[in-house]
Amino acid sequence: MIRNIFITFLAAIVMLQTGCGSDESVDSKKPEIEILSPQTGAEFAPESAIHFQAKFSDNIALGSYRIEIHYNDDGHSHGRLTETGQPFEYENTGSFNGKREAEIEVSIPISHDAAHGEYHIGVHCTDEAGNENVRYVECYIGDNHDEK
Amino acid sequence: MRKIFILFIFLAFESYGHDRLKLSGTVIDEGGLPLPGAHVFLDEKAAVSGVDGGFEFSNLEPKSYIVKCNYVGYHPYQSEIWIKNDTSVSIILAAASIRLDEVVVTGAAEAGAPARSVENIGSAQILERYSGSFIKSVETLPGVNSMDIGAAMSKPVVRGMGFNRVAVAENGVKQEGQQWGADHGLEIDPFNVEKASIVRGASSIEYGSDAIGGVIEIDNSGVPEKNSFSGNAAFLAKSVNHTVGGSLFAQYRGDRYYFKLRGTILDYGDYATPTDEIRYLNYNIPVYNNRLKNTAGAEKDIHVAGGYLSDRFRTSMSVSRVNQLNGFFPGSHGIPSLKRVEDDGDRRNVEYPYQHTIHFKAISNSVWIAGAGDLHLDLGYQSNRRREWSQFHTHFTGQAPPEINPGLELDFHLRTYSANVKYHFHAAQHHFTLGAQNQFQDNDIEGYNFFLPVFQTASAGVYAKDDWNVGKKVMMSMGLRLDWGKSAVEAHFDSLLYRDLIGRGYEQNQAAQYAHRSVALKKPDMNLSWMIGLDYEISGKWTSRFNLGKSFRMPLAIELGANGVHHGSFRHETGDPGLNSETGHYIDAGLEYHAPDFSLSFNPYLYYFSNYIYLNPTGTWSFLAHAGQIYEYTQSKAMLSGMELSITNRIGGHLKFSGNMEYIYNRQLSGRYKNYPLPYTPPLNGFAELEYGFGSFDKNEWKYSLRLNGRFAARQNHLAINEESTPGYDIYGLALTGALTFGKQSVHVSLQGHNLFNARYFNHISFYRKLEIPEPGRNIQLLVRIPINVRL
Repeated sequence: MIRNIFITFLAAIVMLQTGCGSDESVDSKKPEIEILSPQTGAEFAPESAIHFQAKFSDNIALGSYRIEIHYNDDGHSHGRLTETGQPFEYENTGSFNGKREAEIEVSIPISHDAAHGEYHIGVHCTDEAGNENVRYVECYIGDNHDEK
Repeated sequence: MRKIFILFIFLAFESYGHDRLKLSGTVIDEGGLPLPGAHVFLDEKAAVSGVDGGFEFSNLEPKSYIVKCNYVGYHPYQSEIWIKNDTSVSIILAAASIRLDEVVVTGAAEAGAPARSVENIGSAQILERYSGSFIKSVETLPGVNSMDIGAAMSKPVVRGMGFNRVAVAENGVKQEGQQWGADHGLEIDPFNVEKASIVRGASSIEYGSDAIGGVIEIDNSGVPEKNSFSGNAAFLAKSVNHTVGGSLFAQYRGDRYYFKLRGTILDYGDYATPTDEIRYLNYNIPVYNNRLKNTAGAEKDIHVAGGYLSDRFRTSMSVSRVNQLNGFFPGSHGIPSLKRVEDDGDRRNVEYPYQHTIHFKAISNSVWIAGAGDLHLDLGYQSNRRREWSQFHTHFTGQAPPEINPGLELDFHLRTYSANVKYHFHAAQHHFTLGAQNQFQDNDIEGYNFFLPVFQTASAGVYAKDDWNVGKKVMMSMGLRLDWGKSAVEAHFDSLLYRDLIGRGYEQNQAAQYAHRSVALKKPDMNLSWMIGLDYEISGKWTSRFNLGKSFRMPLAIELGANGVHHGSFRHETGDPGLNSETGHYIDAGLEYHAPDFSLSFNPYLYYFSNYIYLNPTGTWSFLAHAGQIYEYTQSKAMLSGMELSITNRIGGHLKFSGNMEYIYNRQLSGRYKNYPLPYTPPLNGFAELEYGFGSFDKNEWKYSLRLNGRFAARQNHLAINEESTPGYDIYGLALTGALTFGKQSVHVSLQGHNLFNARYFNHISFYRKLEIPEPGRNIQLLVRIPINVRL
């Protein structure tokens, strides 16, 4: 009797461990983001333009996007703003209208008094269910900041 | 497995012509410490043990009686006793612990304590299962999971419910810290737990809000033996993070006064994990030397207690201070920077970012035995100071680092005042409890980053409980509780953020919406909880339990009024002042089989929440840097169900197999995310162990024991929105423990290995899961405990 219970117990463990598949009824798959331009580490001069290009795709339906650029104070200047200029900021949101694939290409003009330093370009995307994905690219305005 | 130890001391003295006899005795645990408040039944008569464990039945006829004794957290006791003379007995109750013992009693019935599912664990077992924190020691129990931050800090999850849905109480007083936070760890010295009861399932009658998933009751109020001085010293070393530490304990008792003192120090370095790199946000972040940089830390704890006992009164005062320092992996704060994870050559230093928590507690417990009942009064003061330090960073123009403490990012100071009173008494077959509880909290904040607002909460509850010994095979429990609560949250207007957003071109009302980081609100609340339980002994070997009730949780200040990016979860989270208390109705059951060499326990449960509060994405983008969708605390209907199964089997004289597993299935039943599972749900998981005992056998324990164990988990594919699927795992451990004797001195040695195959595995509910950081690698640890006893 004991041995039978053992075997049943262990069999139950094995079965339950391998048998659980994914939830087919709900969408758990994140949308995909591929940033074609700019590449990490790219440098831009103030008053030039960033050529931004990215591809988005989802298994069911894309939702919306947010492209943001912000100045990343990495602590080197201990919170003090650089003496030259204002941190450049960019914000762009929009909807994909339920498409499964889309591409966004914009030219982002950099202000003439943009502070020099490291910036992050954040590309956020949701699908219609609410699954969210994000990709970041580091770039520099002005000279490449020597990290060391 | 039950161990029932019967010790009869017959005091045969002549009683001339008396028909009416007396039965007196004491109820004690296996360590000889008295158990006050135990229910003792002699056929239909009932008594309650006093502070010294003593009880008495008088006016007895000379015949045979059935003696039963129940005490929460211990195996029920039953035996037959023949009263011919005035008789004195000692009833020794065995803790229902994971170290199951072997003595068998035939015909013993499960007359049952309150009908819930309880696991008890003593200090020896807690230390033997130690692998980084107190919660990790109890993680192998079915129904309990550990939410970890690195290798040394954890918080409990019971039946899939964690954060503020599990109450932790020490000596009757609920522990209050910032347990809503995923990077918070329970501030308890694992060496300072004499015994712990893990109650699975709602315990709202005794604890009010927050005990929806269960309660972990920690007790270190044990009283030393009269005229004794004793203590112990423990030393610990772990290889996975180079932990070195120990704990020293001493206690003294004269006649009526006693004192206890404990100090614990642990120091550890960065922990090893079997991976060379982790991938997060499409960055490949290297893990140099297979060690997670800056996960080092230290813990310094002290505990002082003193007390006084008399025949009908006992009081004690306990003061403790737990000081935990824990470094965060630099990649877990903000966007990963490859430079910050470079090896700095020192595996023990703790640099930014790190957290530092000091939890100070003063608790007073008093018991008066009065007539047929006993009165308890517990008072507590707690101060939880939690600070997070990291290199000053800001995305706002014009925010300069503060001149004082430029690295202090968050500083929360929570003060909690508690006062609980309860009165037990018995009448016929009923054992009643009436109680009232009060708690007041005051939270202050500092730091250059705002996340948690200033708030005060006040709550009061009154309750009544009845444990009714209906008959030989049936015991019922009923409870009712009413709670009043009120939260007051202070507004916080972030003028820097406001100016920054206006400067970026946002409208005034948009900027204001973001800048109102918390809104002033006063929220009163009233809640009713109830429960009905039944213990039914089906036969000599089969027993069953049923439990039905309603439980609740008051919403937290963070759920009502948060507004900002939580660096720990990398999300912009907002609260909703309109949230109501979380309420759930539940049913849970248990079926147990006990035979001499085999026992089995099955515990299914089902909760229906009419109101379950958790974060859901709103679909609206945040304007803040690095933030994605705004997440809002939402309430919705939800269902949570599951079961625990455990088996113990003895094979031959030396071998024992024990195994357990748990499964949780839950669903959101309304709202935008209907049919999605709830977040932070542990997968199907289990634990199995084969123990071989050898050497001499004394007091139901082998002198030496060799244990081989395995923990396994299935892949977690049932995910709430934006959770990652986590692969399953199986990890193995080995332990060799023994008591060595040197003359009269015994030394307990425990040599263990965890994750022997250095498997790379992930804990689905772990704080570092989002960064794809695996759990610690292979660990070899040595624990040496030296008890010291001096008879005075």
